[in-house]
Amino acid sequence: MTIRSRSRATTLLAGSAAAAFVLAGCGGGGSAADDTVSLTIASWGDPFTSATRTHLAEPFMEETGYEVQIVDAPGRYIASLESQNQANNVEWDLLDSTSAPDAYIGYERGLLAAMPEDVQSRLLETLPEDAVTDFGITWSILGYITACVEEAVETCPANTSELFDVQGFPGSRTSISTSPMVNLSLAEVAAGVPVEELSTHEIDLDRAFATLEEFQDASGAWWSSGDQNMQVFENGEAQMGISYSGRAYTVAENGTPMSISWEDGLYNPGFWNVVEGSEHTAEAWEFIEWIATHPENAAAWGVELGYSVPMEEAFDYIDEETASQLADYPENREQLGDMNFEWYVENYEEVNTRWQEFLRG
Amino acid sequence: MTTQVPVRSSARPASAGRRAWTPHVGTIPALLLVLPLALVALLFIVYPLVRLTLDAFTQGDGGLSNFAAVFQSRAILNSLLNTIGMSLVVTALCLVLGGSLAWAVARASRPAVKALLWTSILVPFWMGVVVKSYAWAVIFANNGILNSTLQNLGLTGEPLSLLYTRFAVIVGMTYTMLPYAVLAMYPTMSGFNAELLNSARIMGSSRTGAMVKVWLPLVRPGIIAAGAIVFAISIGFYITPVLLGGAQTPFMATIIGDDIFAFFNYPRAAASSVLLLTFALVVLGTAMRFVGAKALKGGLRA
Repeated sequence: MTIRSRSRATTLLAGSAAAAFVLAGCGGGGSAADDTVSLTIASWGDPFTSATRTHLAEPFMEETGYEVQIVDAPGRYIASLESQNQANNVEWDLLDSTSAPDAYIGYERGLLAAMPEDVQSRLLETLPEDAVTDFGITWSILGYITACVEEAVETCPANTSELFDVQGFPGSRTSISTSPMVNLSLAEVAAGVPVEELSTHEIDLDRAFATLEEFQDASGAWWSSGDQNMQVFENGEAQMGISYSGRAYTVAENGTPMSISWEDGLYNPGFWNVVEGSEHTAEAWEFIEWIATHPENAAAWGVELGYSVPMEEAFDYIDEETASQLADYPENREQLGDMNFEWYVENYEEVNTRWQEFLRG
Repeated sequence: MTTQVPVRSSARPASAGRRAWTPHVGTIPALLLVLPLALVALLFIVYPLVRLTLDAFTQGDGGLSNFAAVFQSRAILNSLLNTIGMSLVVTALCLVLGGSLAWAVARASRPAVKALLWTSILVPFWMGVVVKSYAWAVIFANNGILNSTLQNLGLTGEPLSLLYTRFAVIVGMTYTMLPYAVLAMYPTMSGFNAELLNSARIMGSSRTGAMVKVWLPLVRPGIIAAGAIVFAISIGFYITPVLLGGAQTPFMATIIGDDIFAFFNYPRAAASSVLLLTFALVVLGTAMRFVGAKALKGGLRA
């Protein structure tokens, strides 16, 4: 929005101070001139959006003089990008914390930009190798871990295999309903696939679904969001199950004693991505490089939301207790397996169809 | 509309120099008045629906393939049956409970009682559907109010599984839809002349006979209108089944959401939506044939 058009709009709405205020707010606060680069980040809504604004976007704006706007589009990245492409009007430049399946599928469908080689080599100077992919860097990382309400059962399962052993460890189960890959991968771990091999392992769908059928019979409820994840444990709908790592610790802090085990869990990265077809690709990659080189900001972001960030130096700014609850904390990281998302992208339709039939059929 | 308004003022001769007020609006001013609404409706209702229907037939492999994909999926068929079956139960409950409520409001003679009844009907109507659903989730939870009361009274040892069941969804939906049913039935109930029941009794009818043969035919349009509205809205429910039903009792809207946001299968989502829309239209159309559009519109207006 230019100064000229803004002042005209303000005149039109003369007398309405509130409307003028809102219009001024559109520009992102600073004075906007024609040549100012304005980046648009799609994010998940609060508390994500405010954490990204406070710890990443605002300091970045101050340093570069760019404008950054954040729009809320929780869980709608790929669907929205498809329709923006259809309408030939790509509105976003960056995606904040895209879920791994969405990022892989989005890249496969040409919705996410490929990382330029020079950016890649510079990022590798500050980030570990597995944090830099062809289409972005890992971010807002959490673990899928085994959680159990201590008072509810006699013995809590201490790892994934025990959680799937419904005879050995009786009690009602829960898991995430929206991610087939998490459930199938963990079912394979329960069937004896070592977590270190998961990232290249091709899931045996028949075997995995058979394991999940047993798990389902013991299921009290499936959860589909972080809130529900906590609710099923706090309300007693489930006594044990797969949980987001951060949410499990929050349940414990809220007063429900929890047994939390990282053993044979899953490492679940989100991603920062640049949108294919964005008008400011270079500046968008600049933003990603900026956050990769500002571990203190990244740490503050992660601590606020309870997620882990990929750079080792970030842990210098996080206290030991908080750090020990994050997925990238070395002791936790080494117990977690990686999901084979390349396989998922290839077998996407079959996996999703069977998952939907399993859950909803 | 215009014909229902008494034309008292225009019947009076206009005095010189002053034009009498007339409730009739000329064709052109009337069209101009309707134009903004018509444009909005065209742009935001008609166009998206036409586009959706076209998409369902042209996107993906086109033709009927998207519909074939819908019918080949056990998950979608299951949720379609779930949606229709549970909506029918909700409709029946709303008619019985809402009918009694509407009748009670219409017959209440003390203003205080009437006001209290209206308040109890309208307050839930004004609450957000998320708030209402969460309230039920709190009540139905394993360690929720209901279960702890039952356990404290010694009526049950283990907590009953109430949340994330069809039962919870039906209760939550009925609670949400009840005001619609009451508002749709109230006009015919309050317009019913209670003296007719006395007359029927004097003429030798039994109590039940009077209700069935006199009352029911006269309030029938309201009941059918209420049923059609409640059913048509119910089959589109999304939040209540998600919050109270969990993953295993999905409604069509949940499945359509899956297709759009998780599986990115827009063509199949379009086909499912068109099916659901057709279903709602058939129900409304049938109801209109039964009672005439006027009664249904009366219900909708309320």
